[in-house]
Amino acid sequence: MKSRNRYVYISVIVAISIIVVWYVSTECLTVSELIFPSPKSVILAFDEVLKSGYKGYSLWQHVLDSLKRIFEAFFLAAVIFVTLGLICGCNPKLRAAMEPVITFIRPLPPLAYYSVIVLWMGIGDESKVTLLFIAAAPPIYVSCVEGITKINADYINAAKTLGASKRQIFFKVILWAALPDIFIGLRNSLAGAYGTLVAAEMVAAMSGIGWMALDASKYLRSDVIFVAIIVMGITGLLLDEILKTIDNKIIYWKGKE
Amino acid sequence: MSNIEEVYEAEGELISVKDLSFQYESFKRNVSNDYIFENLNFNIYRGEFICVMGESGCGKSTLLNILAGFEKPTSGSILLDDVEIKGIDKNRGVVFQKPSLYGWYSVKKNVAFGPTVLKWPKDKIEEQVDYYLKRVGLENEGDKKVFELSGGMKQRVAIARALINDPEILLMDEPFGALDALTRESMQKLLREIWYTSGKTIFFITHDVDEALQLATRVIVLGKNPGRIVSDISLPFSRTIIEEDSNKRIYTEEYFEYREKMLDLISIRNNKPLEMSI
Repeated sequence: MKSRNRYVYISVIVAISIIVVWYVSTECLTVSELIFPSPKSVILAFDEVLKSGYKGYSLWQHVLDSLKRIFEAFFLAAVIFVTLGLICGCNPKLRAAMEPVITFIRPLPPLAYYSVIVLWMGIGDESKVTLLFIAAAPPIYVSCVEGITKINADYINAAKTLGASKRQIFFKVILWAALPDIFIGLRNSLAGAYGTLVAAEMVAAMSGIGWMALDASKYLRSDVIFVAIIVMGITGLLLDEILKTIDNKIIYWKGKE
Repeated sequence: MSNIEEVYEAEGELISVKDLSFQYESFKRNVSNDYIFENLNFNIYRGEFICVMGESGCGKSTLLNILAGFEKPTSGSILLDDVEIKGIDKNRGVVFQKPSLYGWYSVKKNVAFGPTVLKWPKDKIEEQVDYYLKRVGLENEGDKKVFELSGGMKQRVAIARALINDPEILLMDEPFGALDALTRESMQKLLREIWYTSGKTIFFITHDVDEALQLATRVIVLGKNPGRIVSDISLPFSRTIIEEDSNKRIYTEEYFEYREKMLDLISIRNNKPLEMSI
């Protein structure tokens, strides 16, 4: 953490340079605003969307609708797959049973099965949340299983020699020892769900920040697409920061043994 | 007369290892020399401080793992107070080579782990935790996090954690091997005092001949291929150090004779130099 804070100025400099390069290149080179909008037109578009919204919803409504879908999916995936991952982590037979399902789903591009999900669940929010859920689940499961299977055998043996029952070993040792990995899984899961957002809002959406980017492309509003991308980027970054902060607070012993 | 002696011995023995053999399961189809050790027989008596020595691969750690219940013997049996050991239980406390403390708990909670899972009354837990922390010289570190402790302090916590359950025997697998020389010496002193004042039986694996000579009342030297007891020696030095409150007097001719003898015993089979942590 310390070294990260010390060099934070480097990150800031790089971020500012990117914006400067963007500004200078769009000023000096004659590139069509359609292909590469200048910072100025993006700011203007941002102001416009902020003031009058986009297609009947305010910008914040779009962001909120997207976040709602993501959190629903993420929450469901976390509850179900942390539990499942912990159970399968402790039980090699169940793990073997889950293996083909997870390894099959994990690398699938969500768009591949999206139409099937829409056929099954309709064009409402359910299909969107389901798609995000499928994207969010595997990282959690994989990390939970890994967190448990790689626990130092001495930890468990020590607990046994001290008289702990299986249940006590699970709640006082295994769960804690796996917690850092569970959090890694949750962070990857949120990132995975977030990355699927645009795909999830492709079909029959009327709102959402991902849908906004897609819809704007139909009207060649590159400036609005950029606004959506930047808002998405910053929101994603903030979400990860929040999880990271919680992570560091709860798992204070991580990497310090 | 001899009968009476046998009865006395039988009463004094805490652990009795009978015809113990061990081989790893995957090797079972192979020829017989895959045994880590074969037909070990020895007793451990109450109050002994046993050091086990032998070169790498002679099965020292495996023997400890079987005594602890982490591994099952291929054949033979181990009796503790005439009851066969089956699996792991709280009669045998273990201190590992790496402290394996729980980083998510404070020092106090680590020491209290045994009593907590055994559901002792709260005030008794608190009192005993304080007592054992004081015993290992960490009375002021109870509220610290594990990662704030040095290597030696962590191993002290691990010893307190194992002792608080009052196990019949303390099994220690090269617990000071990773410590620097000064810390190791103070840990040896601490352990010697704990052993002497508590009368606890200790089974201690080490690579270090001087450590064995200065701690043990009895040294078992294991040989290799297959592992077996090469020598079983009683030693006076540990008691001398305690009773004279100094380890200066022990560096006598006798001490160096024992030292030479043990070095010979350990390296006799393969003529390879002994792995020693210097």
